[in-house]
Amino acid sequence: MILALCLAAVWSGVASAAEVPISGQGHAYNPAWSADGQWLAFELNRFEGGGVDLFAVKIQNGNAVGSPTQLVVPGGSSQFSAGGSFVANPTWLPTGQLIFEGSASGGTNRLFFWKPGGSSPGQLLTLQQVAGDLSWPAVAGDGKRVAFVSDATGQGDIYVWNQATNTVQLAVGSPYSEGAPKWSTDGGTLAYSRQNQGGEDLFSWTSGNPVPRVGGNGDQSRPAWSGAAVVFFSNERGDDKWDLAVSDSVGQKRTLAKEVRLPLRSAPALSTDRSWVAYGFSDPKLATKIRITKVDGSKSVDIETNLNAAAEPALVTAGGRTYLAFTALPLKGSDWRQLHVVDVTDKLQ
Amino acid sequence: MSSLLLRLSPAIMLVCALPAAAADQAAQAEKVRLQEEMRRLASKNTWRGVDAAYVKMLALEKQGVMPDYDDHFMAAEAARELGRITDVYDRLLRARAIKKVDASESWLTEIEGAYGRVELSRDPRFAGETALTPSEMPFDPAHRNAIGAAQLSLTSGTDYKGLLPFGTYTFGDRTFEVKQGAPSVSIYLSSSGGSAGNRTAGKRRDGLRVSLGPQFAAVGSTSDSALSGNVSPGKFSGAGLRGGVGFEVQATKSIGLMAEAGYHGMLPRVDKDDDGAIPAQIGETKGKLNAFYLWGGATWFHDSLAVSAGPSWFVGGASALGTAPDGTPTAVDGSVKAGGATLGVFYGLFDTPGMSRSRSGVSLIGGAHTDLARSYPWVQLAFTVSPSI
Repeated sequence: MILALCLAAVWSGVASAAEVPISGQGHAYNPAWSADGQWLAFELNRFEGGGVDLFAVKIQNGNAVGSPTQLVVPGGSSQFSAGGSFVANPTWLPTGQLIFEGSASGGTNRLFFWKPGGSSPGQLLTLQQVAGDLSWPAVAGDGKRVAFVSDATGQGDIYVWNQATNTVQLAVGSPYSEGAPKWSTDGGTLAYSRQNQGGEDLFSWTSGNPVPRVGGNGDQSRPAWSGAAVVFFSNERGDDKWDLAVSDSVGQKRTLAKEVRLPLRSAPALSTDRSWVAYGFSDPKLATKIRITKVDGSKSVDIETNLNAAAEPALVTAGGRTYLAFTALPLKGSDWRQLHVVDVTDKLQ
Repeated sequence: MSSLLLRLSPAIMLVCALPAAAADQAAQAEKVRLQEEMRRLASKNTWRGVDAAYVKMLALEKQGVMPDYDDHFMAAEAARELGRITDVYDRLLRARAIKKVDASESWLTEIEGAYGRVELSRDPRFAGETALTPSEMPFDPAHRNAIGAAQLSLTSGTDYKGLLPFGTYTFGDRTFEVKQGAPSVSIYLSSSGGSAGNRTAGKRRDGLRVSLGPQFAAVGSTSDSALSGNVSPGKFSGAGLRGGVGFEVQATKSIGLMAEAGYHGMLPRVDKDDDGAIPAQIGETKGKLNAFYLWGGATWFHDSLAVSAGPSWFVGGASALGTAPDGTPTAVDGSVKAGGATLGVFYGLFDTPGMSRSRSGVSLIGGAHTDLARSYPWVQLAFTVSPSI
């Protein structure tokens, strides 16, 4: 009965998704929308030579305009060093520029900055400002601060760069490894995960000492804010069983969806107003769908992609339309995981 | 013999060519090594090393081994990370000369559309605030690096001449804006009273010059050719006063044009004859010179030193003990019109109170004039006010 009610609450529809043309052999992952919905950044995990490339493509009315632009980190443009570079984790600024992490040929991982239509990416922070491999960039809503992780001390600590002063300050440092920071909507609080004794727990930090947010068995990982609630992935039911969970307050946790497909790198895909969250499924029977659920659990919509292993969703609302980007394999045969964009405005009414 | 030479000539040419070929190969090998070094250092974000390797590679150009597009481009990336946006621009232009690639083309377009040229400098004696501060630090790291490099240059005592991203800045107590389509901005902080000057056409050393001080002057005896039966004034010398006002205009980076006019005179003094006695026939006579001078010429200047030289003239009257054609002593009064040259060396000691771009100091000035009958050498130690950059 409950199952029937749940199924009844799920609206479904077949969506016609536009494929973003990608040249090159590799699987597309981790799409990220710019705030205005006009650009889409995504990773391409190369088949030959390993490594990860980052691309950005202009989107207009849900369709790609031109070919994606590859973002090559400094030193990675040389014919000697293009292979083996790692360029990933795209995060857009509210003003339309992109921040990501990357390294050329196995070098130090640093944060980079790129303007659509501009020159090649440049390092966001110098080694003098902060040492170590830098990762997990997260931009505050005002676009003036960037939180990130540095392994300069041997384990991940969270630092905050302030644009106005061009200074970097340690926000959270501990004997444990912190990661995946995300700013709250008001920009006042960071949620992040901390590895301890083989598992990950969620913490929040405003200033001073961090506050434990959610613990439990397994990993509570990759937080994202939805108002005062934190949406995250949890595998407390077992290593390969990932659930989408919500913590509405400190110490509290509820499961929003089970058996979700864990994205390669990204946090839960929230809508622009942060009231919806999109996810794919690890269950092969549901592998053609992307489900979009209200964070409060009141409503869900299935997007039938007619593709296989649909996952890695990203949502954006711009110009009165809401678009879903995701990657998927073709329904038949073997191919690379491709990037698709679909207008889901009507589905979310 | 000649046939032997002919047969050996290819071998001789080969032997001669071998060192050159070996040198070329060595230079080529060095280029490859430097390329690998640049790549290795870039992967570690060691941009100073990348930059240094590129500079070494440029030295190979003398041996005919030219950097590739990738080398210029990576060097531009290094320059950007080091904040040297002007070098970025130059290196991209060199990359473009090899081939036009979207990456470098868009970068060049971006620089041209986001940066403006500035020249920020200040007097070494400027004691006020010389910090360069943007109204808002930009997010773009390339922009921030460019500002940082300019700030570093200025705080280390060096002027900054190059590119800055569009925006509003404060340099010392001056606020200026770098914007699209605007001419190059030139700001100069003057040492005068800690205030700032602002020019759009670069530094200039224009302004008033004033000179006043004691002089020692001499009037030579009349030349034989001028005597021809006339009364001849005797030679005399003594202390006097010389002072004038003029104007100076900068003509080139270190040369200015000056003109000055004023009083040139000797204090009255009792003249004595060749024996050192007052002639009994006429009693006490006083030698004196009162003239107005005009001096024009060029000034070479560097820091606090300035040297001015040029033709000069004076016109006035003189009195002296003379000799009548019959050999008797007589008092002589007359007019003087003399021309010659004047040389002055000025050293600035302090900023002129109440005047901007002006220094005060001491001058040693000397000249020699002639009216074709007598010479009028003189030397002056003066307090001088001079323009300053």
